[in-house]
Parts: sequence; C-alpha cells; structure tokens
Amino acid sequence: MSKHLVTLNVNGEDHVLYVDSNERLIDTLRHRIGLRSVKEGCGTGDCGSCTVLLDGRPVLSCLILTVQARDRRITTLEGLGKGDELHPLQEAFIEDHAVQCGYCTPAMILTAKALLDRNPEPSEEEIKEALGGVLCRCTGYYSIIRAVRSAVKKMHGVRRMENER
Amino acid sequence: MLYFDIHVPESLDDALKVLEEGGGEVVPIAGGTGLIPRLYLRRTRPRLLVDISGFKDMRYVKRDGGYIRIGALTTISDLLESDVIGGPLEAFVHMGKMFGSWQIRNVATVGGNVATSSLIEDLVPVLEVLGARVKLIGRRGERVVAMEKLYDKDKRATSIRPGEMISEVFFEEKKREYWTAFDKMGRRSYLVMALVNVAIMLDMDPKSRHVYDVKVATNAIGGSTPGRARRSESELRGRRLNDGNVDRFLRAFEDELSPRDDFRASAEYRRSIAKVMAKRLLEYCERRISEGGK
Repeated sequence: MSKHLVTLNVNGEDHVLYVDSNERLIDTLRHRIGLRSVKEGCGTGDCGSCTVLLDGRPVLSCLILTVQARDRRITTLEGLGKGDELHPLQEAFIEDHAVQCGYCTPAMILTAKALLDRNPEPSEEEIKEALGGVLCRCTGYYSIIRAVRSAVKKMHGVRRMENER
Repeated sequence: MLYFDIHVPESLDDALKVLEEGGGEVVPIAGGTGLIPRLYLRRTRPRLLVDISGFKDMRYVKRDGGYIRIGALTTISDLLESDVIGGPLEAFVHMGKMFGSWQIRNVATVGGNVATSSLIEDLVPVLEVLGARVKLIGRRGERVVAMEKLYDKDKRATSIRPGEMISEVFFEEKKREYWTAFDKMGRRSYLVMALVNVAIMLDMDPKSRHVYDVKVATNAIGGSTPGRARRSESELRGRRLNDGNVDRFLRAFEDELSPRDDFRASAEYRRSIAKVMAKRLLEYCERRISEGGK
C-alpha cells in the first residue's frame, strides 16, 4: 500500500504526516494528532459523531480519507476556545445542561458553530435542520437546542456591546 | 483492514490515463460518501482509487447557451447555494434539503450520485424529468449519454465504461413557463434512505391549462419500475389539466409502477404513497405556474 506525504492544517497548526492510502481522517486526527474530541460512532456516515469542520463546513471524518483532506483547513472542538476561554457555544452547553453522556457533544457544538458562522440568528427550525445529522442517543435534544439559542443571545450581546462602544 | 491504493493525479490527463490503464480495477473517488461505506462493507474491491476531488474546474453550476451545466464535482450544498438553482428548478431545492445530512451534502457530489446507481439516489429522478444528459470523458475522447440510457433495467449498473468518468450533467433550459418539484418518503424525515422518490416537471400554459409537456420519474421503488413513467405522462401531454385527465394520469401511474416488497416497505404501501406524492407534486407545480412563479 502506498504512503502519501500530506499537510493538514488542524486548528491553525500545520501537521506534515506520512499516511497510508486507506487511512481515514478520523484515525489521523484521533490517533496520530491526539484529538480525542473526534468520536467514532457508527463509522458509516449515519450518526454524525465524527463531525469536524473542513474549510469551515461540517463533514464526517469517518467517510473522508486523509489523503483527500490534504492541504485543507480542519477544525475540531479543541480548536474552538482560546486557552481557558471557552467559545460561547461551549459555555452555553455547560450552562444549559446540554451534555448528558457527552459523546455527541463535540459534533453538536461544531455543527452549531458552522451554522452560526453562516446564519448568526437562526430560527429554531433552522437549528433543528442543521443539527439533524448528529444523533444524540441520550435524546437530550431539547437542552441542546436551548443551548444553541442561548449561545446566539450571548454572541449577539457581545456584538451589540461592541457596536455601542 | 482495507487494501487499496490511492493515486493523487497531477492533472486530468494523468487521472484519465491511470483510469484507462487500470480497466475496471481502478475507480475515481470524489466525495466518497457512497464509495467509502461500500468499501468497508466489501461490496466493491477496487485495487486503486484515483482522487479526482481536487479538480476545482469540474465544480460549477452555470447557464450557457440555453443549457444549464453542472460540473461533476459540484456538491449538493453547492447546488443549494447556487443562484442558478431556483425558480422553476425548485425540485433541486426540495431534493437538496432531503439529501443525507448537512455533513453529507457538503461532500457528496452530483457526479458521484449519478454514477453510484444503487437505486435510491435522490438526484437521479430530478435530472430525469429535466431530460438531462451526462457527459463522459475518457482518454479516447468524450461522449454524451441521456440519463435514461445511463442505467440498466434495475438501476444496478451504469453504461459508464472502464476508463471513463462523468465530467458534467447538463439539460436544456425551457423557454415556456414550467415548474419542477420533488418529494421523498422515508421512515423518518431526515438522513434517511428513500422508500419512494418522485420528481415531476410540468410545462403548462397558465391560462388555457394546456399541458405542453409533463415528465414524471421515480426512484427507490424497485421491482421493474422504470425511471420515467412514460405511459402515464402520455395521459396528460398535449391535453388540458383538468380533474378527469389528472385522474387518468394518476391511475396510469399507479399501474405503471411495479414496486418491490421488502423489509423496508410493502409493494402496496410504496404504490399507494407514490400515487399520493405524484398528485401533490402535480398540484404544486400547477399552483406555482398559475401564480406566475411567485
């Protein structure tokens, strides 16, 4: 099996790696770069747990070969906060108890971030639609949607304050 | 452990050369959302994949000399975000919103969906009612195949030859008032495999209600159901859209389907929901045309 030299920009940092032809992005991120927020659920594209952002768009890292992600920008949950400072979505998920077992949480937060980057004030319907590809088997959907809504409020509050200055 | 190599081509020529030399053992990979699960399940065992996902020139939706052209590497999200796909081409919007999940739509490509032929592709009936054609490229040149000639009878195989790949899907833009619509029925409303897909194109005079053209296509129904329901279409084409003719159309449609029975749904269920879906889609297209597309 041939090896390939690829460069991945993960959470703002370039990683240069030799990867096998059949290596999946999820395995590169988890086992080689050590980003354990990327979860494998089904491994066949049904559950959404392995969601990462590829050039800002949510994608399933279990269905992407690492070779195909060469030279792209990848964001995982680890890339969201700044040091000890959490992203408003992370804060909201804590405050609204939107985490039960936590397995789907990284995927939920990343997908919600991609949504808010495109649509800063989504309706409840739009939130549900966007998060539809990530399954929560604790079925904690109400608090997850509530957390996304309170993150929207937090982020708008910040934006308004900045505008008033 | 899966054993295959992947080749990252330097150019399109290089990709076509490797495809040609490998015969059927080499397949192109674009988004991979269809191919990779099939590799895991050992349903397909290519020796080599050619990664065509880097060819940005094959990712476009454009109007060009009376045609709408969609590059093979256009993703489903690209379709939904395109200015070209709107108005009477609303079937693409209906389809796109029901296609997989956002994660899948960001990666899955038009060429990949058309080439996969596993009977359940959501995009295929939409392209069929638009009379789309598929441009295939290979080292020996290019050829154009109509959508309906692309698949064998049970939609399990395509007429794409080893060494060829899809470069574009295109269709003529209609000049008269028309509308398209699509609906999908699955066991839930999101991220689901279709039990029945129906797409309709209605080209009708809004005043006289004369039907210049109508096309209806289904997918996922299985059995020996054809893609296009041509006999049913002929019940409406060239006639007036009134209750009697619509009724004849729907009865013919029901007859023309021969759905499969399987663990997902019974043949009778598939047949009866397909009829309801076709009725609603036809009414929807009629309404949009009568309202002048508003």
